[in-house]
Amino acid sequence: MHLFNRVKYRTPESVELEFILAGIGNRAWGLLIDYLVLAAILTAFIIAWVIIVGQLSDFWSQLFGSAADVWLIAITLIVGFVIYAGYFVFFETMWQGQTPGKQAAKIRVVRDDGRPIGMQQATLRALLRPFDEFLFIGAFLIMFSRQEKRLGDLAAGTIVIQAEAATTSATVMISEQAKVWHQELIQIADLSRLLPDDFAVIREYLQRRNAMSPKARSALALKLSQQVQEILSIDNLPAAIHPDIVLEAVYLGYQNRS
Amino acid sequence: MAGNLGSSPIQPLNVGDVVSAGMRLYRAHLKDYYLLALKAYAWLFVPVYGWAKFYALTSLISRLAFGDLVNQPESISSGQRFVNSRLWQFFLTMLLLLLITMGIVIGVIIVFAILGLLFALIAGGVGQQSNPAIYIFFGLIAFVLAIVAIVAILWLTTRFYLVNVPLAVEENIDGASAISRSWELSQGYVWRILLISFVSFLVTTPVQIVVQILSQILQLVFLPLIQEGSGVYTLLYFVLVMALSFSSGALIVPFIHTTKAVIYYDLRSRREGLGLKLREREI
Repeated sequence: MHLFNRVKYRTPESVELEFILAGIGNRAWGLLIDYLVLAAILTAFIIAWVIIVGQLSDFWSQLFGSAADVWLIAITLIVGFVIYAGYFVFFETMWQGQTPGKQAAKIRVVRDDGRPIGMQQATLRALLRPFDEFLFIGAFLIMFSRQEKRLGDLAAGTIVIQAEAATTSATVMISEQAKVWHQELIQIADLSRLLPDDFAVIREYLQRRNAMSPKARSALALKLSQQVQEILSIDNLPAAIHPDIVLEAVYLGYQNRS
Repeated sequence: MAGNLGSSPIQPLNVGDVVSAGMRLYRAHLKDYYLLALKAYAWLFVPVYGWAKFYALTSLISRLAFGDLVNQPESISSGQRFVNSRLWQFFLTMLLLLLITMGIVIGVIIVFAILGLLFALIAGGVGQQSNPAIYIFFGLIAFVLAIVAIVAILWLTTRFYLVNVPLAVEENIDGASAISRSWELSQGYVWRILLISFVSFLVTTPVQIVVQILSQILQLVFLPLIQEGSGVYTLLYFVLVMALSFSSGALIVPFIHTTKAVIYYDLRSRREGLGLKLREREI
């Protein structure tokens, strides 16, 4: 089943864009990291502020008279709220829809049509954040609405999508034997019978094999090499060739076939 | 932007995606899983047999969710037949896990007892000087050891976290081998699993807060009535509290188990390459 919520958008030029929505898990994770950073910033601010207030106590009594305490508390609260909302506005505007937490969770805020967000959208989202987060309305809306929009998203017309995953360049270790052997393979077998999907599966295996448990890895290598031999109609491979070598050779051969 | 996902994603999932997938799987069968969970909770009233049934029925949810993940969905009745046929194994697994837990608890108690003894000996030895530094030093050591103990217990609990999923899903497995399977699968991924559990917990916070509010309201309403001395109100209060905790538990439990199924699927895909095959063959 489709594990991910997808959103399709058709641009005026009839180009179809597809986004994968971030999902409640990633957004919760991103929010957690953001709160940690925000807590650190607020703590630093409060410590600095308390020190300053202490140093300038005469100045305050002169300025505010007898109600100095109340004024100072009010100023603290206002500045605290500005930092809280400003953190999100600042980062979402500067970093094209990402805050430090969202970067860690690899998600991004964009407008409904995929365009990057501006200050208006970021501000709307940040101002509605207290309702979303402290009454948990946002969590319920994200979990149950079709495009995973919370109040801030609904007001600002934004969605939160998974950011483009960095395509890992092939960090595949190829053994010497396979490098030597793949030229021969191109001669004996017709590698164009391999579909791009098959190539992708073989590459997945070669990239991930080091993380697998040894028993499962050898079983899987054997199975895949047998399937590959079936597809390419190679019947007479010497049995001494390790399945990993076969797969590496096919991987290289497919890339280098004429 | 879509990355490399086909109709059956073969790439490993990150932490947030596992939780989101667990949520989607639960939402797809909200009523069915909720009713199954309610049934499981009802079985809790029957000692021993009922507890095994509870374990089996909640594992059934994991089995159904896993079937969805590998595109081999199963009907509830067929899943129930399978799980009921293994009821005895589930009971055995519960017993083994209980024994292991007792063993761990006893181990921790012994370690702390030894520490306490050491402290008493040394403090008694230099008691004449009654140097406060010694106390602070031992206080610090006890604190550090307490943290180490908590981390170790969390680590061990996570290694045994996935026991019920293989038991409900795989062939050729019994109670004891399910435990070693969970140990094997979770190797190297303990912190990921803990993180996923933590994020799932965060996601269920709204529901838990609502439950807390409701139970406080119940308390406020019923406490004065109970103090008037009528037994009926105590009983009513008790029944209502039970109903609240059961219905809210039944709401959260399926989410935990669908997420467990996704964790299991993800671990099998990372450690065993589940889903990697050329030219999908219809089974």
